[in-house]
Amino acid sequence: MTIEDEVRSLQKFRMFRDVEGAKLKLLAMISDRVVFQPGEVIYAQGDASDAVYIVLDGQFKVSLVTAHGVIDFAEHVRGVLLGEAGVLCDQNRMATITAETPVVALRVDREPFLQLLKESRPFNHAVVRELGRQIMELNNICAQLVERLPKGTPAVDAGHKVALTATHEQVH
Amino acid sequence: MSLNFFSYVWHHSRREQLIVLIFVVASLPFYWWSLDVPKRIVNEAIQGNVFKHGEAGARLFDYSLSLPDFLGGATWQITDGLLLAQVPYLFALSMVFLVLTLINGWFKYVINIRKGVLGERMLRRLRFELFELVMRFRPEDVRTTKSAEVTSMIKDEVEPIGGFFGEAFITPAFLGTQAITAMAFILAQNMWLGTLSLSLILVQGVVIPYLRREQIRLGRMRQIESRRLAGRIGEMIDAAPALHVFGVALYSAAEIGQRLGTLFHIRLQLYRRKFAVKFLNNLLSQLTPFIFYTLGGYLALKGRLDIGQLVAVIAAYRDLPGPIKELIDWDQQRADVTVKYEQVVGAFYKDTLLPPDPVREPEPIPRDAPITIVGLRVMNGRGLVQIDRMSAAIGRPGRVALVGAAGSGRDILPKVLGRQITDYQGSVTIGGHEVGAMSDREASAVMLYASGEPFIMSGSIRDNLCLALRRALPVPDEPKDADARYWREEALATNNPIVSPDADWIDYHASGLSGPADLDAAIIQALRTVRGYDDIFRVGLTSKLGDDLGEDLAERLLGARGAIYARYEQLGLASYVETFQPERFNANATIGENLLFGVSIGKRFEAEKLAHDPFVRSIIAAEALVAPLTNIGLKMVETVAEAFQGLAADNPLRERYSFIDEAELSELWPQLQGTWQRGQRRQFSPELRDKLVGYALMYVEPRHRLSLIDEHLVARVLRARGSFRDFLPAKDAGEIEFYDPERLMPAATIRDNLLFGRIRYGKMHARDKLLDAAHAVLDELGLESFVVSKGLEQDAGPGGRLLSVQQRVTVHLARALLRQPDILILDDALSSFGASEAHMIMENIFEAMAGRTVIVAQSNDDDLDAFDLVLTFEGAKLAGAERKGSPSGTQAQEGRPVAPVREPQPQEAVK
Repeated sequence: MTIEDEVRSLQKFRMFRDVEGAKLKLLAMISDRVVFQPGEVIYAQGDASDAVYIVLDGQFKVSLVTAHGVIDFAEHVRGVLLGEAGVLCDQNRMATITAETPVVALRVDREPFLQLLKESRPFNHAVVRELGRQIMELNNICAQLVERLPKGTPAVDAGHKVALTATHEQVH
Repeated sequence: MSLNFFSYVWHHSRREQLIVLIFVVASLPFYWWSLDVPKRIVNEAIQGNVFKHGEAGARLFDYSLSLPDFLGGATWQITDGLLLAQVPYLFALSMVFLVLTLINGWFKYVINIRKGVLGERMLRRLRFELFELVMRFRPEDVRTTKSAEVTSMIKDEVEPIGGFFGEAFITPAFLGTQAITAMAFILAQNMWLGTLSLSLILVQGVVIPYLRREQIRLGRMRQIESRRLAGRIGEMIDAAPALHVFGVALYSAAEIGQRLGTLFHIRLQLYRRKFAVKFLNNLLSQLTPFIFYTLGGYLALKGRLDIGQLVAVIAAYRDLPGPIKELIDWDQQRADVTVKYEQVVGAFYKDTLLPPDPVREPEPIPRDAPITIVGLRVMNGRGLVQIDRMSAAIGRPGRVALVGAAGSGRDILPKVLGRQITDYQGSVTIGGHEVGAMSDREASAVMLYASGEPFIMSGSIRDNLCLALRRALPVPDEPKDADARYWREEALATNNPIVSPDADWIDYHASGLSGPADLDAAIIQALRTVRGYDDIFRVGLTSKLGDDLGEDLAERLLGARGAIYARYEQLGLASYVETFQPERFNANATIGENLLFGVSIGKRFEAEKLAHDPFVRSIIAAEALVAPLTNIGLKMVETVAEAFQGLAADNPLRERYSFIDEAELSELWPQLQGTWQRGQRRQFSPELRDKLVGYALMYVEPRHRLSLIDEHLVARVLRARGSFRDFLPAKDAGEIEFYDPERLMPAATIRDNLLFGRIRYGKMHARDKLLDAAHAVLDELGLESFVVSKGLEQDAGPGGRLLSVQQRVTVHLARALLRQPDILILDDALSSFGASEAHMIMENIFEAMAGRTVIVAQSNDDDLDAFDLVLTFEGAKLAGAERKGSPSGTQAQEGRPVAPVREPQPQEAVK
């Protein structure tokens, strides 16, 4: 797999359709190609958000550590961008991501990622669009969940956090 | 420090000055005699006055002592002297003259030396006093001081003053008496001639200083202007990066050019003046001999003056303009120097200075004495109110958050508490001591202020960490030998400190340490608290192993290499590292590393220079590697040129290909295109080819992923590796250390020595896991402290430039914690960390500071649960003080009722 192959894979994603080829090449050049075996943790809740992953292939699972134990939040997830929210908001990882199938990804370190956002407007747009799409998807999921609740259930408290803020010790 | 130059000099050096004066006075009779003897040589010996009446001999050296007539006029003959014929008489007198010349010379020598030493001592004292004064500037004044100007004042401007210290009293005394002696001599010879030359000298003495007044004014202007120039240049050099960014180098150049022009203009005027005065001076001096020759000659011809007298007068006069001129020069210098002195000392003279450190250790302030703020009002230089009539009581120990928007009182109060702002109204006291009036020693004993701007001094990381600890008062060593005694006496003579900076200044006791042995552990603890330990450990791992290891240590490190590998096998991490093996190509190392298969010791085989080395080049050519490597380099350049188009040369995105220099590339690219257009892709010029080969040698397949390495290339590189080793000339054997599993490589980093291979690309978290495992093994083998101490030995660079921003802040915080102050004030000190990291550091700091006080400036949306007291600011106003139950169980706060949200009026807040 060479940079050229990676650029071709990236070009297939809808989110990158407006990004010029040279910038996709740049993206590939500043990233490392990483492979996760099924069951391997891509990152764990509470880790420092040190990188963004662009998943070229594979499925993964999202789980949350809460006061009531571990919730497997979503399974068989396919997504292009992974971990960008933590990097953008300078927050630790909010969830644990585990590979379900072999996951091939490009790992872009935090700093180069932020730099690239400044450098390329189309890339910036692509990321913003992707974030917007994720929010719409989440809204959809939430709406479905609310539908399942009995009538008269009070609205959720937006200030309440379910995920435990993992302390440093829990990470290791 | 006296503002008057002469009283300053007299105050500090009168003993020395008097000693030199005694020498001066003692030298005068000899000076008189040396004037007298030539007259006798001419009159008595050569013209033979004493032999006129046919005497065969004359008496020499007959001395008698007679009392004045009113005491009886008795005479005692001391010696009878010698009876000499004319020629011996001449020789004897000449010998006397020679001896007198020697004696005069000796006096001059001794006086000059003493004067010089005196001047140097005073200069040392003055410089030290000025430095001490600057160190006592209030923080407000320091901020408006240009460091380059102060440097120029302490270093350069006082230099001429230093030369004048010795002259201040001695020169007028010496030259004055000399001139008076000479004058008296002339007067004694001939009243007329004497009066005449005296009046000419008086004219000189009056006119010339008058003319020089303008010169002094210009001199002062020159001084101020050049000081400004120094300040401005210093400022611009500090701001150079920004000036480049803005592209305003031309504008700054214009400003400096103009300043230099002004300086030139002043100097030009000064020179004109100076030489005009000199001309006049010379003219007046030459006029006198003219009178002597004409008038004196006339008188001699008339027989009213004998020739010997005339010669003596002229000889005396030849000596006279010297002292007189020097005296006038001295006066000029005096005016100059006193102006300079007043200028410099005045610039260092502020209305308020911080109190000097007390001689005795101040009474410690109790750990639970509260901080009381009554009617505090702070205004900045432009009269803007930054804190408006604030009163509060901060109980200790406690965790205090100062909350508000940036620029509000929350940013100002910590500076007042931390004595960064000492110009305030109202009172801020800790245990009854006013914060603004505390001496450094007193304040630093109870609290420590840390801002977001770390001050890192040049030296190692360890030096910087220990800086805050260096407040012990080491007892000066008793001087052991003459040399040490000399150093000590000189320091004493100039009021300089007598304790060497190399003494152990670390105050172990105040930081809860029992002695030097505990220091390393404390440093490690402090680094852990601010979460900088791993970083320093890594710095240690990436620092050179060095060859000053003990045998035992080397043995253990080599053992660690095996142990770490065994641990990797055990943890299933072994496949993450590709070790160096003589017969195999290491895919995770560069092609160049694969070729060398060793660590460059000198400069010759450094990675960047490899392609230009004749020996390496010949090996590459011999193994037919030139063409494939050129192709790799070409492909890399093409990729870079395409992807990095439009990126600034220092864009961090270029990091991975940083070895392809932007400037080089823009030079290369047209050449490459030119070659292509001519259809000669294979025929690059030798320099171009070397460059491309050089790039190719930096290529790592899994890192750069251009799919450029095939088995043929691998086979050739491996062959080249063999021939490199076989054909390396014996004289170059010291330039490289080949990889050998059984040996350490002093020129390589500790990490490379331990891993003995490269971490594979494409494995997530591999590096962290590997390093953590290696860390654990090192820990078990007791080698951790060795690695950390290597990390601590790293040079921080001037202003910490060799450290990353984070490392600087980490060092800054760790050294604050190392001190274990009773009160720690964090003024935005964690701002360069991400929110979550800052939070974790904060928690660690709270833990480390348990039972003591931490005052932190926080922004509004930070988590405030951990604090006992939250002071909220709205602009300059204190809007609320909220006391919480202590979640962490700080005993002093427990059970206290929650205070009203609004802080009560001042009267109520004071105890």
